Amino acid sequence: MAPPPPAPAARDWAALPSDIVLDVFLRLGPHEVMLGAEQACKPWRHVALEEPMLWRRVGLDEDYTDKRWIRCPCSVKQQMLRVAVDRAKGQCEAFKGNCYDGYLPHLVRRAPILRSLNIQHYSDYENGKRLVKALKKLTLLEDLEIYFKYSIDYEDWDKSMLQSICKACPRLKKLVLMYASATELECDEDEFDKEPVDGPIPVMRNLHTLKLYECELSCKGLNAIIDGCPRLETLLIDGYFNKRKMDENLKLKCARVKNLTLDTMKKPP
Amino acid sequence: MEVDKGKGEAEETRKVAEADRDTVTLKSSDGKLFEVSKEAAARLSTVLAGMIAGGSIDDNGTDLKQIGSEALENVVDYCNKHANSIPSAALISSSISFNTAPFKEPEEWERKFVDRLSHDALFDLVEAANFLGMERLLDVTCHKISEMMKGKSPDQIREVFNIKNDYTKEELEEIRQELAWAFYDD
Repeated sequence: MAPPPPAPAARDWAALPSDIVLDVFLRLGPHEVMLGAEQACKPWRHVALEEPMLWRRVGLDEDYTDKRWIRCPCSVKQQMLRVAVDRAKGQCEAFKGNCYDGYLPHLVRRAPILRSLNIQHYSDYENGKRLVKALKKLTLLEDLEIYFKYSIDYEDWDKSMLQSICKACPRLKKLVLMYASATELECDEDEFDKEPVDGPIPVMRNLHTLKLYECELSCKGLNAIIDGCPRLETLLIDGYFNKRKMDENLKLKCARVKNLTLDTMKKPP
Repeated sequence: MEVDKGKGEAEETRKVAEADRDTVTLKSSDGKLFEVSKEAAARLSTVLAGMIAGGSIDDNGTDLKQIGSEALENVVDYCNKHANSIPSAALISSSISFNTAPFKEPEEWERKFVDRLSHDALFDLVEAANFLGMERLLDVTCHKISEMMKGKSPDQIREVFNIKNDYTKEELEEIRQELAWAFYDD
């Protein structure tokens, strides 16, 4: 038998076909790619910059515990999300992160086909107008979560936030709103007005999950939700609601919601 | 599972292959012959499935000029192991996170199969899997490569994969600016 041929030179990993690099990067996810792999060599960075598919889902991820990421302050993490959204070249479908003043209109321009938007920290000193205007442009949005940092200012905006969001996003399947809380704002619980949910909402044909935290719900408001959302399967209310005021009719209506949680208490006098 | 490259024995193999149509014979770029389960080859490789269906399989050894013998041996080994393994329910990635799409996790034997490979052999295998359209083997090899990158800095990744830093000072500065957060140090 002939002796084995001499071992060829070590393979050039930088020359790995770009579709394989893409496959590997998709497994790594945006954080890992930016922190390490794409900086290793030019051909790999080229894949990171030229493959919008890599950046379809961008977000702060509690499960990502790499210490290089954990040690970054929130504002620094936010820079990463912005770069990632821009690299998606309009194809970003899911975003989860903070929206400080003025970022939302930018996000909406850069990610017009978002299907899922999770704003973990919404702060805008303007009233809700800007939020609603931006949401209107996301015509494919199905899943929306917003955690409000401040109470909504109704001084020169007389619409209900819930109603306005429903109007702006009629295709929603899931809506979670966490209104500002007294604890977070460090003010006295007794003097703090929770977000009122009292008015009518438009018909939300596709909505199957609605969760409202830190709100003050009236029976009228609850009636409107049940009537407006024929497909509702999960309803969670956390805040003030007086269950004793529910009449038989309303109780009956509520019975058709599969997962109903009224984690509420009566508003203190 | 190398058959042999000696002429007489290859002839012998051909007769066996003809008698038993359950296998196909593949020929590497350096002329070595390998025998693989026809069913597994057709199931695991879109390219081989196409060749089998299209009748372009050569009983004397189908030429795969792009694939060296070491990589082809691994491909064949993988196919034959796959033919004998009991498929478990598809395992979806345990690390489902917001940012990464769910992937099928490699099974235990698949993990061991790629873990024993040298870096060069892994490189050749992933290329071969890509060339032959072997989705499952690509899953397994790409998973392994991603594991080798996880949690590592650019320098560490270059070291693992023996990659030369091909950036100029200006280009590095550009990266530093775009990815300022990645250089955050408190």
